[in-house]
Amino acid sequence: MNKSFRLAAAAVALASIVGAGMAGVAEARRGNDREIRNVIYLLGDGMGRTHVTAARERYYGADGKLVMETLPNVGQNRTYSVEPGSGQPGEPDFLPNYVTDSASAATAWTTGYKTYNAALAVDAKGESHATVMELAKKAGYRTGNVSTAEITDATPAGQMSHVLMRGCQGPDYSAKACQNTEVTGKELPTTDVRVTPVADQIARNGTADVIMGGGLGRFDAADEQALKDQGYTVLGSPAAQRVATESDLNRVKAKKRQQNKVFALYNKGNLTIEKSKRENPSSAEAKEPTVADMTRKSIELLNTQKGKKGFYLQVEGALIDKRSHANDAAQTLEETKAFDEAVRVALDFAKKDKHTMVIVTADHECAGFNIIEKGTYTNAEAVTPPTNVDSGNTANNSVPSRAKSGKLDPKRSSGIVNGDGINDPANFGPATFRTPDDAAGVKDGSPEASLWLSYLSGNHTGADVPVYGYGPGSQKVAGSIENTDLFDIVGQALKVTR
Amino acid sequence: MNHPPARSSHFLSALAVALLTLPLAGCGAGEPDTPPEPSSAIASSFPGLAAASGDPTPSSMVTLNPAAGSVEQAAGPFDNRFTFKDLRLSRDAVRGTVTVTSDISELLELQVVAGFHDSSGKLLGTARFTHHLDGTHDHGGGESEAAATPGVEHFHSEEFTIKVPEELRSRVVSASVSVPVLVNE
Repeated sequence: MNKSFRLAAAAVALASIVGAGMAGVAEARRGNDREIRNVIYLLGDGMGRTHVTAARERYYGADGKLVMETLPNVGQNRTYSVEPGSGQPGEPDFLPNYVTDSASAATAWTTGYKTYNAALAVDAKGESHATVMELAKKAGYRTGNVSTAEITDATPAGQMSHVLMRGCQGPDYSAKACQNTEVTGKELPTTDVRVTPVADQIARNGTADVIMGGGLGRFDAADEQALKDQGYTVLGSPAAQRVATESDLNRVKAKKRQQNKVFALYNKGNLTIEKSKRENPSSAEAKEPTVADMTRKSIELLNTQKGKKGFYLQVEGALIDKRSHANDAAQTLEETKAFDEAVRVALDFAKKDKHTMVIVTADHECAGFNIIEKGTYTNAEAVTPPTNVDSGNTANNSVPSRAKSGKLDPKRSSGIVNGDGINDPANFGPATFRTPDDAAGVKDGSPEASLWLSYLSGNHTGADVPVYGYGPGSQKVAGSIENTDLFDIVGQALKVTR
Repeated sequence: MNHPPARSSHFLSALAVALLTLPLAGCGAGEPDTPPEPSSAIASSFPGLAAASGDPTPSSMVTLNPAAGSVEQAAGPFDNRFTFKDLRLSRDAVRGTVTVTSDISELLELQVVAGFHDSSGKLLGTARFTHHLDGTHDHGGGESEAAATPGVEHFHSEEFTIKVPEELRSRVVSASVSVPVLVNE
């Protein structure tokens, strides 16, 4: 090959590389399908693996799927927290706590730090760290935060506030509720953000453009004024303690390339369970929107920016956890279904948009929810736990060794806790539910119903929780990940972390 | 057209340079993706927000004028989340039971404030009963215990005793109670 030819070939090659590069730039302008502009992060509070399975079987049958189960990437995340004063995993002073609360779990995915139960966006030594939502806001994204709990509760507050103690919610400061001298060594001045009630922070820091949920009782007239001063449209009134309604929300229209900042709290406390709204359609609470409604409207309000930076929205289905604490299986399932409808809204948007990552996960499992075999009972209802005596068999001769079998003890429990069994105080056994696979006429609360559910306790457990992902980059959720990894996955997708 | 090699080389080099620089000149790099400095993203002060000077005294207590010997509930932000029962005033303490009716999940924070009034209704002072996350109870040395309330759900109840401050005892004729702090898991 002569020199001229080589140079010509090089020029052609170079031109094709440059051409491809130019095409890439043009494609990016048109919309590269691999480019993430929005992230919707949905969190089922207390929603463990069994919550998902049981809700699927209850509403769609054995071969059905919840919407979240249609997301292509699936993993599980480790939820453990740490003790106050602990270092991070791998550090010499690392001291884990195997069962997290919602606050430390929220801090894990919002900041990337493991922390102690009750801490919000501060590490176990009391240092504040920026949250994904704060970083996204700073970087020019629009931001939203939706919850069916009080908006000052741990999960939503973990994105929009920094406090030593999650109980520091407002409207008033209380030293006992806000200070943590075990971590800080001495009381902090009340000007310190870490002892400033969450409601005061949310109303003033502008971290979320769209704020929807419950908890109006945490906010007061000064908060309302602070919100209005920042350009928020406030639905209802914290000053008058008048809650927003779904009609108020429907009147709000998104304006292109506008801030569309909205603050809408629909209940003084947590929002109302779907069952209660359904059974009391004329009640004030029935005017509350569903979590799916709030998700839809939030997307509409946030999706108004052109260019690479779209929005970051967090959505919490909080009542899954609240009803699990109550061992209320019927409402645990119904709230899981309601949350799944919010996932549907997010996924439908993402499929059309093509530049949206959707993450669905939980903060922890709640109450040791389990599906047991039809017609069986739990250890808690048995005379003793299962028998384990077989000293001649090396596979079976470990301790504990019990001589009696774990047969049902009628004195300890007389059975099914729902249906006709609801009024028997001796019942604490399984709750039973019909599914689409059951014959017509089979009723909830009957022995014939095929789905038998039980709870281990009324509190959180340390089980890993599922995580589902859709969209470019969401394959990173596949596998066994730490809850802190979700900070990096979302942060890197939005390019707000390194 | 035959160019001498040197000229071809120069031409092609120039062409390459031009092609390489073209996109930079004409196709804008778009918005930069430099992550923000984390410390700059956190709001650490809130202009216009008055720093708290201590635990709250409900303003509703100031305007109350409870009847002599009685204990009256003063309005607070969470009145739809709890009930008071068996409120009574003795020479040395206000006693009663507060039951949280909004949630059955773990009670994280609860504070009952008692206001002590003279014969004209003037608020002379306050004292508190506090239930804190770690299970400690701070109520001026009185006794308290958590008890399940019979019902469909086991709402958290606390019996509380709030002592009348020694220096006020001779003037206190009535009392008020309110709940300014209440948080469930």
